[in-house]
Amino acid sequence: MTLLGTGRARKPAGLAAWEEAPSPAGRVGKGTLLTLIVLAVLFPLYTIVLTSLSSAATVNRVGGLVLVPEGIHFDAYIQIFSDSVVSRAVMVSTIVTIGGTVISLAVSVLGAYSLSRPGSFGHRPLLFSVLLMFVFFPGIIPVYLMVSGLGLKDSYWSLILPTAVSAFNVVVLRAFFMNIPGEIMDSARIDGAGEFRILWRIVLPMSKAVTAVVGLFYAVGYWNAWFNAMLYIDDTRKWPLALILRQYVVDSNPLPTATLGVSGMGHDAPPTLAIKMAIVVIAVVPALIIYPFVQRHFTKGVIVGAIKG
Amino acid sequence: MSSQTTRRGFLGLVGAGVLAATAGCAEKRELSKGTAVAADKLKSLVPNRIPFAIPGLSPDLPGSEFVNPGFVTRPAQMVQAVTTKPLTSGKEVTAMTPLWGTVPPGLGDNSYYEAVNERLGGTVRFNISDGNTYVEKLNTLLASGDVPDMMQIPGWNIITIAHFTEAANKLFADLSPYLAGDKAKEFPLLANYDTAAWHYGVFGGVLQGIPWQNDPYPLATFVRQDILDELGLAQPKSADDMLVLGKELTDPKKKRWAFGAVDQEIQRAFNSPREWRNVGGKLVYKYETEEFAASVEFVTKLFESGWVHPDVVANKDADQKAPFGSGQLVIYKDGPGSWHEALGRFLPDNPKFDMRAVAPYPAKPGGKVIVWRNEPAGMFTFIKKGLGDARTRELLGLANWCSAPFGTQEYELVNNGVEGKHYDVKDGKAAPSALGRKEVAPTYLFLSGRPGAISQSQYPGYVQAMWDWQTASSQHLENDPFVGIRVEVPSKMAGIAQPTEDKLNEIYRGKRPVSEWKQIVKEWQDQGGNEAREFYSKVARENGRL
Repeated sequence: MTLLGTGRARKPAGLAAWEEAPSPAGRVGKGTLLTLIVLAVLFPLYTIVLTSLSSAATVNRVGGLVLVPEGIHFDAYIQIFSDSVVSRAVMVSTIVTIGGTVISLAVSVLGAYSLSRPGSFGHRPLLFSVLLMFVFFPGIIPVYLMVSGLGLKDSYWSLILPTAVSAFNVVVLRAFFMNIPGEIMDSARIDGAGEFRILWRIVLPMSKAVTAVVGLFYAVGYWNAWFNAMLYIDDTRKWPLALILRQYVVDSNPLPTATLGVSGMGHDAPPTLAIKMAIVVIAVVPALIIYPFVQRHFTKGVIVGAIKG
Repeated sequence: MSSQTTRRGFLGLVGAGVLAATAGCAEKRELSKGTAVAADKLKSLVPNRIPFAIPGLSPDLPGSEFVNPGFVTRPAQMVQAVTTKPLTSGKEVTAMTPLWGTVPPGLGDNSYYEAVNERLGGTVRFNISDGNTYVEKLNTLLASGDVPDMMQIPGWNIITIAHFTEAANKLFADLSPYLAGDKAKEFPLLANYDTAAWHYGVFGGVLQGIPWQNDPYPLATFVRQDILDELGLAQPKSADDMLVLGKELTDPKKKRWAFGAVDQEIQRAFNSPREWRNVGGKLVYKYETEEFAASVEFVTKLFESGWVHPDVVANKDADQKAPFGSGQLVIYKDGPGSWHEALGRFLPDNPKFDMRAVAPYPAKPGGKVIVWRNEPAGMFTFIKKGLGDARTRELLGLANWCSAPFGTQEYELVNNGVEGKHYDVKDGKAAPSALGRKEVAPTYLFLSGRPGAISQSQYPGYVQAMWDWQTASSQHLENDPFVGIRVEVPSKMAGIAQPTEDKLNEIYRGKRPVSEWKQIVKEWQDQGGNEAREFYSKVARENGRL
């Protein structure tokens, strides 16, 4: 591209176009664009948080999301956490997420490590079967029959075991492990280390990035999962948060702690938007908290794992 | 079910899974072709109706075939309708029901369940599932054959389930041996149902579903009377009046628009049939009528004029209750049941909130008024097949107990729980306690149906207004050619309805010209509409309706 005739200084030799110092107009343009993008992301979050902190009267009067604050009210959050069903669901989701992530990581790391070592037992057929899972899902009914037949229905295991291993995550981990120089492992073997010690002492410490990212994938998956709970969990005491959230946010069902005034029997008012938005805030907070800690690993973990293989 | 699984058993399960997956693929290829059962055969399958009179209780406003009895005040004494405990075997009953309300604590943590189970003489263990995703679970359970003792299935889910009738015939009990004709005397509250509702419980020529009786009217036009009064405007008496109201009410600066979705009410006002109509010996579907085409033009005009709330313009499924409550939209259509729900929701924050149902109106002043007739039953409770004679009778006894109508102690217990614990009555108005709001969920309610009543006397003027509206509407009910015949909609026809409705919504919103409507109707005919006509015409001819 030529810059002749534009009035701009000729670029220093050896610098690419994007390495030049931007012009003032360029800076303003970029700044404006980035500000707009940031606003586009933050504005929905702002309205959601603001609506969750508004009174029911304000939300009803506005008839939608609140844009201008009219006082801060924590009523929505108080109502949500004074409901034992929601509190219990938070506990169930936390346990399933932590337990599930540990199990998934353990199984996936073990599987990926064995598949990353050519010549290990059943390497090719096992790898083929994992790759097959990319294109062939067994289907809901066969999995249901399996879960039911194993006696897992209505147990927390039904929320973990059917989704414990993701073929995608195993492949990402495997690719990352294969990138570790074989010489390091060979030297460990010469020093007398077994496969478990090599995995634990050498491979995993060198794979913190990908392990953290895959762990995040699994954790977010368990936290958000509702389909398996909908299918397998009959007892409402065992419902995870995602299933409860769906009832309140998507289906507009009322919270049992909702104040109903003269409302009628058996015809509870749906939750106000404030409560819906407070539930949304509660649902996204864990991901918002975890993400900054994992973010620095994200690019390395996923990209390196994805392009080698 | 045993929780022990051997290696051989595990491999067997894998095999079963593969077979089921294959069967699942086959199912998607062929959907239900629909079935129909003639009126005379239906009579031999269903109970003879024996009205159940509650001793010492008479409504303030009398009921009739198409008008529910109204109770302007809450009865001081509720009557015990069933004196014996229906569950006698000591076996636990498993039941699956949908939930559109508050998620209740489970059995063991729920005093409402304990109170009702104590009264029933046994334990009912509910598997409740989100009503909006219920069909996902239904599909899986029906395909796997893993059904509970009692299962509630909404009709709108049934038409989307491939081979439902075959599955129902295989998995659920035939109830005719226990209920047909005078046999239903053993279950007097089930015999109290409308016969037309029972007809709808017949699937593939077998009585299987205990019906949830619908009110006769699917829709009403609602207005914010307080806003009309404030502006000195009157309710519409014809669709033409809508044009005047659209102009007078819409004021975007004040964030007020005249309309939400009113399309189906306009179709009705223009005399389009709800579904099929016999025109000169030929069945015509609503899309094919001139009346429907005129309504499309009219509704498009409402959108074009900017009189429809922008949320509704942007999203046909937008929530209209909230903007109606806030006064952002003044006129919309909804089910009649939404009336008292809205009063419960908005009156506490806005005592001036005054919602009214508009008496059925024609397209032009002095024109013919029709009111669509709702399907007589909307949901069904099924009993598992193969449980044995005694157990099936026991479960029918449970359904009978749950069918007790308004005015009975059973109704109060099922709907509200225990007085003084789950609800309190003050000045003749019942209000749920904190515990009631938490624990009482519509569960036992879905193990049967019951005749309707207008009983929400806690809202001043509501009972009389609803009774007046039903009385006015009953004068104009239009029967379709299939009243009294049980027709299961062919899946193909059910499948083409939504794409056609989507195109219709695009016309309303200006994304397609109105002139395309004829082409859309042609596509509907070619893609299954004509096939559906053949099926329905055959049914109509066989029953002497054509």
